[in-house]
Amino acid sequence: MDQRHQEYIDYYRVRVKKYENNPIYTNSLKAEQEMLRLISEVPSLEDFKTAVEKDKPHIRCAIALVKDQEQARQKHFTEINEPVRRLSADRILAVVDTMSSDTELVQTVGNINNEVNVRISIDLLVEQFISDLTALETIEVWETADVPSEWHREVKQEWPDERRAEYRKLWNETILPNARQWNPNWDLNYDLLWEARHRRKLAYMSDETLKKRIEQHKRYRGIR
Amino acid sequence: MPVDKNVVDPILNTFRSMAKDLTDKKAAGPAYDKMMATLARMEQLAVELNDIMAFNAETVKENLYNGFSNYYSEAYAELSKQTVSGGTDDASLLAMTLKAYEDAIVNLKNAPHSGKLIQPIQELVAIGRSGVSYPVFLRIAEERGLFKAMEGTVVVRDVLLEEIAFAKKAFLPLHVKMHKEKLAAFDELAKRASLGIPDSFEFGLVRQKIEWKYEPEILRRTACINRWEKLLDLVNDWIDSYCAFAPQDQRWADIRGMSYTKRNIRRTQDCNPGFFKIREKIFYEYFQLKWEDIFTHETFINEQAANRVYFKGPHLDKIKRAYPFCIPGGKPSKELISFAESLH
Repeated sequence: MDQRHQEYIDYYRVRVKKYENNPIYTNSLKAEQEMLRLISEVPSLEDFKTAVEKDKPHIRCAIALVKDQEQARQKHFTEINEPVRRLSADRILAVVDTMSSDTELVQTVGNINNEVNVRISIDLLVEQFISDLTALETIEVWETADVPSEWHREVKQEWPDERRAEYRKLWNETILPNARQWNPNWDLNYDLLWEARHRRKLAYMSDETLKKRIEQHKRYRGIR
Repeated sequence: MPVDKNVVDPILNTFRSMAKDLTDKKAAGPAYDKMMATLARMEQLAVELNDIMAFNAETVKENLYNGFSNYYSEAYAELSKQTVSGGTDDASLLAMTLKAYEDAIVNLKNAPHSGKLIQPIQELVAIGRSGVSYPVFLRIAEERGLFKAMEGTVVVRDVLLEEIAFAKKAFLPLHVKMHKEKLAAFDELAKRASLGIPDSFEFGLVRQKIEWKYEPEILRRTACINRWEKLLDLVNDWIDSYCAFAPQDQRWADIRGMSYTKRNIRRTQDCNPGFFKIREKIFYEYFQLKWEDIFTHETFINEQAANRVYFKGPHLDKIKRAYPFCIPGGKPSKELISFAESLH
């Protein structure tokens, strides 16, 4: 065995060590061990080159790394109950074994992440509702406050009507068109607010109050 | 109308300069052509669309940023193969790698924490230039954790310490706690890691989980502060509206004339107590806190220490003394009005 061959064996041995004792990298450990076995068993570097060209163990190492990391990401997003964010790991894991080159692998992972990032952005659009909460409270204050009758018309009718008209304009001219740039069919789906990933951001609000605020928001938008 | 150049240019300039770099180096081939076509599409969108949000949405939907990066990497790799030595033998690969690292050193010079980021790259270049073979170079780099250091993990701990210091300075107790937890997690991973450098991917997940855990509590806290601020404002405006200075105060001034200003003042006097009672109810509904709880609540004490509570000393005292009178149909005592006037 020539010196260069031995140097490569030493290098691949270090790569194996990198993944030892870390439960995240079980696939990588196996793939790197396989690579080490291959280079240790071939008679020369030329044979190693031929074997690599034929069997592509380096692609298997790259696939194994992506698999390990996406499995970890999948577990992580399952644990924190973030199904939309988990989609990229789900999708990558569904195709990763079919990848035949590192370029294809990198591009596929990048494209899936990009598509899922769009889905995440669309999912987060529902949080417009959270931004509108203080306005909903203000209208509730105006409409339900105990104030002298002399002010009823102004405070309980004109102010809420004006505020709602302003918001309807904002909704139709800015918020909705902006949201539809992400998804042309987008509309605010209030049901999403009850899903854990959004509901937890309003943990200080009881279910009953949230239901009330949703109805108030529909009126704010002019759909009730 | 095109997207505002002042907004879109900083985004496009990054891609323009990457493209120019490859063009200047006489890159060519299908990947280069696709990269240029992707940039042309971004330029087209910047002209055709009206605003930055539309531009961002379309570029992300069409996968242009990612596509550009992919084609750039392909074109760059192709160019490097041609320019270094025209081959894929060990010497060429080492030369190509060192050239990329030397370029990175130049690019990182003005980056934050550049010293620590550049140091492992310089170390790598020194090893590469010392006459070792490519596999020996790779092995030493792995053994010394230089590839991991290059991922930026080497500055993560510094960044976390900075985040803690900033959060302390800004009186953000939950952020302090959260960043400290991230630091402890980082140190724990470092203890387990060979060479003491945690795996950046693994730490990324741990960090995300800690941030996720704190998010509802941080939002709750912000919402709580925002709501008690509104309560204080309502009582403050109400008591001040009875003062002799009210007609000259901006809060009630009306450009239509004094009769309207006086009407505004009267409306505050008549309506604020009713508004206050509803807000007080909402505040209790959300946080199970009453008026008197505000002043001993951790959020209030912290905001006071941070100098973020507008009302201080006698001004806060005025609000507290006005509270029992601030009920629908109620009026402040003469003594209280005089006290409020004395503070003006």
